[in-house]
Amino acid sequence: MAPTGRARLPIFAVAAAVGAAATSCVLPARSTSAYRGKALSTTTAAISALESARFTADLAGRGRLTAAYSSIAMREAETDASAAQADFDSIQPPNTTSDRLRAQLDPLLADAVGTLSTLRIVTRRGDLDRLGHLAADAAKESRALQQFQEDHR
Amino acid sequence: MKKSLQITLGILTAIGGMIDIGNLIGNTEAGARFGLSLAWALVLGGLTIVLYANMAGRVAAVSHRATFDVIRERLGPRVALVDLGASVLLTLLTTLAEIAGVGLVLELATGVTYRIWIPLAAVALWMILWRSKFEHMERVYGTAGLAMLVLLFAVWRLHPDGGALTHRALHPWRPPHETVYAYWYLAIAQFGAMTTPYEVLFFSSGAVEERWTTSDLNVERANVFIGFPLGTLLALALMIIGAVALKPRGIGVAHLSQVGLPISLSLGRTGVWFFLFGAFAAVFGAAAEASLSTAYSICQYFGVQWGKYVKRADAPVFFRLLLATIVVSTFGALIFDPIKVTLLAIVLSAAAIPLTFFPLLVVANDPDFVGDRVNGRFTNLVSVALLVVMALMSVATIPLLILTRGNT
Repeated sequence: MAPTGRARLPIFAVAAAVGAAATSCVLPARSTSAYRGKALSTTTAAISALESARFTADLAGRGRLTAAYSSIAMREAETDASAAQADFDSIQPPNTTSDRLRAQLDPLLADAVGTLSTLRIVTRRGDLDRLGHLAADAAKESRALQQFQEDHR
Repeated sequence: MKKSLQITLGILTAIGGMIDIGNLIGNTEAGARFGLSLAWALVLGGLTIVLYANMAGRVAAVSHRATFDVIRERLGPRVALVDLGASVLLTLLTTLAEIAGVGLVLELATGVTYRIWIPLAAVALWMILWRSKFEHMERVYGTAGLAMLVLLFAVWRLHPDGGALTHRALHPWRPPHETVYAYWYLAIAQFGAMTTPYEVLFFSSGAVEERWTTSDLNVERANVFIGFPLGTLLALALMIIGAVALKPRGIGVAHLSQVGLPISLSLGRTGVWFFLFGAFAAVFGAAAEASLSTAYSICQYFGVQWGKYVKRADAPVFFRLLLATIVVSTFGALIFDPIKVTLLAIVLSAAAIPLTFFPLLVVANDPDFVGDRVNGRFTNLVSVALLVVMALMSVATIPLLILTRGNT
């Protein structure tokens, strides 16, 4: 017997939920604490991208990675940070407290994405001498994001 | 030499099933986020697959029939159809992830985008499945996959603190910033990555392809008790690499490139090349296993001639299904994010696995199929206990997927 319209409803609900989970679509934040939670998870993603790029830069600088590998790893780090920033920016801050949080975090994310872009360009050009310098910048930005996390946890 | 080559089916199945793209990302990610706190899920998954693959191999060797063939006869066409639907859907998802995974490995090796490699990998896969003999395929990829032993060398060269790792494995712990939902979601993902249904389907069908009989039961056991524990060990090595080299740096794993970084740290470029070669063999082998398993399952259910051991002209439906699987998966791999699909596939594996393993347990206890080679009391006791665990995981999977929004 074919399922009735009512019987189909849970199937669609589960399918929709799985689809939403699978695509990791961004849900709105309805309170300050929810918005803060999203800010912290964005920060974690950005730190991961920066540290991944630092690790790659260190290994590439010591000749332990091929140019192709380092270039892909840098591109992925930049993409991750950009995606985290775009996801966060797409969330509507629910109140003025959240506005302040956003105003603090946004420049940190922009700096991180900027440094990662430069790292990607430099790596693709094979300019290994500049990698160390840029990795130090990435470390500074990573520390700033960690400080943000500590301040808002 | 011949004896050692006889266990390549187990090695191919285990390395293809346990060190596929899902494990490469999922196991390392778990280590990077929870250290060895989820090692128990991985070991439990390894134990489960050893037990159930042993049953599948024994049933195939004694009855000369593969899993779906006996499931349909023993449980009836309706129940088996539900099982078939879930299994095919999941195996298609896995094939998609593996074909994309081959592209990702080649991207890291060459710098050329994985989207270019996906169609080329699909054509190569089809040519190999179409042209080469089963035993050649199994031996080439089973042996080449052993390059993944580089993971063990990498762990050794990273000089991990064995005491601290053992302590964390025996005293699971959740970092304060991680939710309890994330912990259990990743635990299910670890279990699912070890027990994908296609491993059992491929292993039992492979046993029929190799024409195993009761006199091959020792070979069957050697395959199961060497191949799968080796796969579990390598999966554990991935988790350790994540715990030792990525977790302290705050790096979460979202890409294959991040898995190779600790190997580069410990073994340099040579290690990375070994890793890429081994990953290529393992993921390509998994793509072959998963696509074959889809065609095997459907043909076995409908009673159509299947297998690479018969002439191609004698199994036209089987080869058409194989081609359709590869084509559909290739389009999927070009459309969807391969990493998200991969992680979704391993979690859904945990949800669907009782559907394949429960009938297997029933058949392995039925003298009509296995004669006097039925399960022993201890095996049944452990298998039923594991089945209960699997059922609980199966029930929890979808709610956890929703609560965490698939954020592994």
